[in-house]
Amino acid sequence: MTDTMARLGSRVLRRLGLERGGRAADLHEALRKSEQRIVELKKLLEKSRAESEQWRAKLLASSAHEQAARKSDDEKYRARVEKLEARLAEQVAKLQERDAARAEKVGELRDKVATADRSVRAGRDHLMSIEVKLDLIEGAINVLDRRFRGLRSSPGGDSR
Amino acid sequence: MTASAAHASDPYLTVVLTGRNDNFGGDFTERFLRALRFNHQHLADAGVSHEFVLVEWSPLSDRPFLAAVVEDASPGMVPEFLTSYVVDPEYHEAFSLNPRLVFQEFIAKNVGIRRSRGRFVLTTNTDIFLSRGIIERLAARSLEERTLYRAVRVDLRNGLDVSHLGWDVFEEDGNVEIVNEIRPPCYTNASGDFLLLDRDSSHRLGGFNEVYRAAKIHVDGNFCVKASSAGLKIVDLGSPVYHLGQGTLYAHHPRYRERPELAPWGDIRWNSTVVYENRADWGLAAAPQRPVSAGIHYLDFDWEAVPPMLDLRRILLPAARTSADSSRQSEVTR
Repeated sequence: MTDTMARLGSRVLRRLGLERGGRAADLHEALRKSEQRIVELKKLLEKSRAESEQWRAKLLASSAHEQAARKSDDEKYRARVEKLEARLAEQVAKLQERDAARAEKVGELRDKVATADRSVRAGRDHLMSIEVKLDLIEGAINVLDRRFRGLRSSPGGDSR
Repeated sequence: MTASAAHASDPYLTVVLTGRNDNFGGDFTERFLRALRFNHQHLADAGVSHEFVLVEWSPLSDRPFLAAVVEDASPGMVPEFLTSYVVDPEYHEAFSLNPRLVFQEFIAKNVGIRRSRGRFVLTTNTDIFLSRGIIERLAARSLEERTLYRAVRVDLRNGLDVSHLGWDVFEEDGNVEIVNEIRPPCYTNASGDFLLLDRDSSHRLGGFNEVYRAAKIHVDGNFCVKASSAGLKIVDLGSPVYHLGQGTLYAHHPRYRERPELAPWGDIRWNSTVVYENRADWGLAAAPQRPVSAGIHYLDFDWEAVPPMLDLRRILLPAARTSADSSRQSEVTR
């Protein structure tokens, strides 16, 4: 009967926006803790921001450094490439020069080969014509031989 | 066109043929008459004014002239379309540089070329049939001067029914035995069967080789070499000529493979790429000529008409032709 009466009394007080003395102290304590937590969290946030700013600054500094380094590398490589290109151009010029000289030699050799080829062909043609002429001489000798033998074997009168 | 219209005092075409009454190849006269009638008929039908010139070389003393046999067998042809020149046998002996040669075919052909009247001269053989394409080309009168026309010879299989020969038979694939292909630049293969050239150029070239008389084989190809060397264009006419069987050379060639110098056509190995320069009186121009009958003439023997036994300065080197010349010459006209 007493508990029931106490619960009813508390409900009426809460309706009226009031708390019992023990409960109010609990709530006050919770409120204080929450405010303290908020302060702590704010501090943490500040700290994080500061760290973030620090990192960003670091990152920016590092990026600038890298860019500077890359630029320097680029220039170094460009210079090297230019040097290599110059050397290559020099080599190419030399090779072209040698190639021209070789081409000239090859041209001369080709002319010599063509001349030799013409000579061989002319020689072959001459040989061929000599062979044909020899054939004819052989044929003529054979015919004359036959005629002469015919004359010798036929009975002829004494021409004395 | 009628046969008489195809005859003209200056015909478009002279066909030069040679032979004698010796039954060469077994049935020479029949083969000759068959081809002669066929070609004459088709030339006349196509309106090609033409003449045949038959040169009877070294006739046999114990037989009638081939010219007379042909005259008897072909009424209406002599003298309008066929003129024959019978050459005294003594010329054969006088010209001979090889006793194995019994018929100097190309000197005989020169006799015919020399006496031809046609604007164009076709030297061929007695058993060659002209194709439809060749007749059409002649009828079109589209031949060019300074151009040596060649044609492939198609050998037909033996045993064809000769009583019904026509282009339908010749053009039947199953009847073809061999196609004697011709190749640039000189198209020499089987050229003795078809060499068509304008008369002026033929005369300027001076006919076939009369200096080299030790062989008759390859003298036709030698003429192509000379024409090429003289700068004439050589072209494949694009239509064939036909021959029944594969020819006597093909049949007898194996017999002389071991001893080619004994062959009756002379040694096949002679170097026929030399060029020659015949005397101005080539083709027995200086031989005394007398008529035997209308359309038949006899050339009496006279040493004046015979070239010297040896005339070595007349053997020349061929002019070198450039590759451009060769490719130009290899054009095929249709």
